[in-house]
Amino acid sequence: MNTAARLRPGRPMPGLLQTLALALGLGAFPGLAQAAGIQVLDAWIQEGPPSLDVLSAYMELENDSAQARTLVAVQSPIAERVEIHGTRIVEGVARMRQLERVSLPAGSRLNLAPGGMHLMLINAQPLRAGARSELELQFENGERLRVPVEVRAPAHRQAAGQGPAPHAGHGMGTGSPPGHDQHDKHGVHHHHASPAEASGHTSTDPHAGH
Amino acid sequence: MSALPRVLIAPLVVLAAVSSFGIGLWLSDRLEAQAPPQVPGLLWPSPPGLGAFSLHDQYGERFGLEEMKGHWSFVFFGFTNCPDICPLTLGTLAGMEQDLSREAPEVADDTRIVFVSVDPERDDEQALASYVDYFGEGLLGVTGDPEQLEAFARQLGTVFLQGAPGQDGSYTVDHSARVLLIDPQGRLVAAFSPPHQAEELAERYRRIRSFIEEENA
Repeated sequence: MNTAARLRPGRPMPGLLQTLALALGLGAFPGLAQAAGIQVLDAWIQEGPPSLDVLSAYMELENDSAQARTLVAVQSPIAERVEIHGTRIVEGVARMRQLERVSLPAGSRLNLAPGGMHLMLINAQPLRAGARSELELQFENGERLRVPVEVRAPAHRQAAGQGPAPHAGHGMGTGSPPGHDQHDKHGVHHHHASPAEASGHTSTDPHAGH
Repeated sequence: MSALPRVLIAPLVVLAAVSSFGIGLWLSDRLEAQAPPQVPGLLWPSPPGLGAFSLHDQYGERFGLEEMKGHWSFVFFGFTNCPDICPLTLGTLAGMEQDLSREAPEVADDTRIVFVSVDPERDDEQALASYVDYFGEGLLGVTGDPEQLEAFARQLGTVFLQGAPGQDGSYTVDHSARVLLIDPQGRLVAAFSPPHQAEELAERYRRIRSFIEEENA
């Protein structure tokens, strides 16, 4: 999968973002610049029932660097702790298991999506669709990466007009919120032209310097 | 035989011919109706009939076989502290119901979504109510004693297993990811395997339903 992405040399955008990050004073967070080999695309938290204190976050991770990376921990300012979970369906039975570490071989891509691998935010504050937060990914080599995340309503809530639909053009019925189809847009070749996409494409947190 | 007046023989022959033609027509109609639609998940020709069970819903009302009957019910097992597969599946079922309300309101009218929590320890009536309300009006959240839940799940060919608690006492529950369809007679007529898709479920349901309604006619 995505062989082209593996063979492709580094793209210009991370460098630009790094420069921007440094200009914004992000040099104070050395981990950020060092984690530039990891790209995070389309990170979002699924809005949940207001009474619930567990939330799921999803994203696509891409290791652009020539070295393998291992995700070992995730932190969230709105949750007591974050666990990396994998849902596997074995003979029709859904099993959710905590994963201590997730390997990202050089040039690989990993999709955290509903019904599969996800980040579980435990004792989390309830967030409504449209809210923004961030997650900090921590890698085994000590690198940290801050990722802005957007809260999205599930598709059935948007169809019923109960939540904002930040990205148009998503048909109802896939069970995954809008923005999910952005994965197709990114595909193997990434486009960085539209601001909407740039906001869902992270290597540093542009808001951190404020 | 010889006693039969000759004058009656011809009408009797005609009557026999007409009735066998009629029976033939009826039979061929039945045979045609008995060819089940090719719908993945359909349990035909022997859908298991449910026996008595005793659970309660989010309003504290009894939910047993009698309450199950008389509606078409989509049943999904899960628990509210499940942030991934349960909201994904309930959201898909809610989407399916929206599809139906728009395209076939008469079908949507007596279709119900029943979320069965296999975690009665944490999922009390209040937790169930606020959880299912999020996915749409009219959703039923039911649970009960572990023994009752187990007996009910077994009837539906479903399993669940509570995992060992972690250091903080939190635990997860493995549960079937299938969506089950119960007809108004209380028979398990379909078991749909994941991944679920709203439009596809709606389409399969409508085909199964019109087939069974024709069978029952």
